[in-house]
Amino acid sequence: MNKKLLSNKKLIIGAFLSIIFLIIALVSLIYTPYDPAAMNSSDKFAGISFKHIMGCDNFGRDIFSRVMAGTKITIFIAIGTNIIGLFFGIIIGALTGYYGGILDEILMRFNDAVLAFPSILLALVFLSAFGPGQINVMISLGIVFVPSYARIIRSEYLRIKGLDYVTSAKLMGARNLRIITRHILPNVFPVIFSTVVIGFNNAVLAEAGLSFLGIGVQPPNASLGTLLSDSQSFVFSHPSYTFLTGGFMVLLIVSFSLFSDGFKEYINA
Amino acid sequence: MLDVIDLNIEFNDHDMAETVVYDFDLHMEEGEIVGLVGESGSGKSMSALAIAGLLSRKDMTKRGSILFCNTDMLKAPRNEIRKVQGNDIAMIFQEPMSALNPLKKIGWQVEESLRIHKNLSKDEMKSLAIKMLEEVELDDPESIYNKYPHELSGGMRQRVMIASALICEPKLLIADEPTTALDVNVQEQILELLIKINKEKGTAILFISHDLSVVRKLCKRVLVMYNGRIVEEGLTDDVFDNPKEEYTKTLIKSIPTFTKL
Repeated sequence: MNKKLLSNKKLIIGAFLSIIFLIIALVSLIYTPYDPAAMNSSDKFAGISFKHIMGCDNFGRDIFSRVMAGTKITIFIAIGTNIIGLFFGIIIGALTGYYGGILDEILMRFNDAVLAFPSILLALVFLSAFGPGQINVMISLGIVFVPSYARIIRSEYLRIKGLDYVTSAKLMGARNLRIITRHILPNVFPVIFSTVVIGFNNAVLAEAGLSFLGIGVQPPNASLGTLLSDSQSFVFSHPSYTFLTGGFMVLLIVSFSLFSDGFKEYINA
Repeated sequence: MLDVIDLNIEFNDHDMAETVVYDFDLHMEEGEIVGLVGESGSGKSMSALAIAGLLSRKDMTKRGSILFCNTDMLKAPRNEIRKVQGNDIAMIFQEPMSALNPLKKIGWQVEESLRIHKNLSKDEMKSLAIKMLEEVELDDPESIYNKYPHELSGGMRQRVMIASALICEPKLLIADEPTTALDVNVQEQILELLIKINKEKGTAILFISHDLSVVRKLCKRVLVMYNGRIVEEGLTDDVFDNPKEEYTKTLIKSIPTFTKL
């Protein structure tokens, strides 16, 4: 067991880096080197130095502080998105998969219809209806995530409800609700977990995309996507701004991807 | 105790209706062991599921009646059937590997019927579960209580299944080929366990099998099913010694014996 864990480099490196990013996000709740929103015209475009390890932006704000706070907001949105997606995904997936029949047909055709749209486009539509802001980004992306989660969870319920131990639970006189929640749900968790880790990455990317378009997180708050969007105007004059924020986001996604890949291998091995 | 009268089961999920059980009649007294034999697809498992109240699919037509202790398992509402299931009627399955939930501890699974039907405290349930694990002759029930199914062998899992089926002291235990997936040694032990339980607790057993030698060992009375119909019925010894139906004869001939070798 431990050997299997230790020989899985993807999982170890991914988990290690992901934890660092989580720590950065948590630390930014109580401490950032500078106030991420504080402007200081004398530091405008200050280079990389001990004072400002990633330099400063066009308003003289410390980029590293902004990246820290941005990581926090990005992770917050990614988590929220997944919670919303999972909550409704589990309910819809469990009911349609377990009961089948007409309910299944209706909800799944609706699901197909939603899945037929590119997810970012759909999120754009919701966002333009709700208006920008981090909570609205979370809700819009969450709704967009529901169908794919529902589909995966439904297929697991379909598979498991035919197994002997579910028949056995029925035969003990268990209510359907009890079978859905106590007997089947725990067995769906491994699949839910690996889906969530991938979903987390997708949420980070989707949020960055929305914020990049300017309809996501609004100033003075900044997510990694907003930072990237802000920095694009200066990509030729001050490339370090773009590369540092972009690189930070890439590293965040790579480490979560490594973790999810490694985790999948660990579970399946 | 159990009266099945003219049970007919018909599948309607294809263009043509397909009858899988014809005019199935069965009467069981309390504490009786009855064997139900027949080849795969003869309808024996279907009948058993119907008796257990598990045929709830909508694309089926079921006629006749299954009276179990004054509850009609075919027509009663699900709520009423649920009160009988696990409490008065219990079932064990062929595959001990898949009949236990892989993510739940043995203790939890054995207690499940109690949790559903009785209102007991945690400690009461635990002591009952451990007593039950002891009764099915598992060594060290305390440690097995805290184990997961993958830590147990096939024979041990079948014992756990029996324990969880019997914890509410049901009147009828339906055993759907409970020994088929086990090796001969363990088969023997499980059979002896079933006989012991039948004697000590007076649990009636409906034993479904295609293994005639096992049925002969266990059951006083036997029903032979073929193609959805009961073709022969009677005391096990009578049926085995002078079978009337052609099918039963072939079935009995197929039991391997040493003299043939």
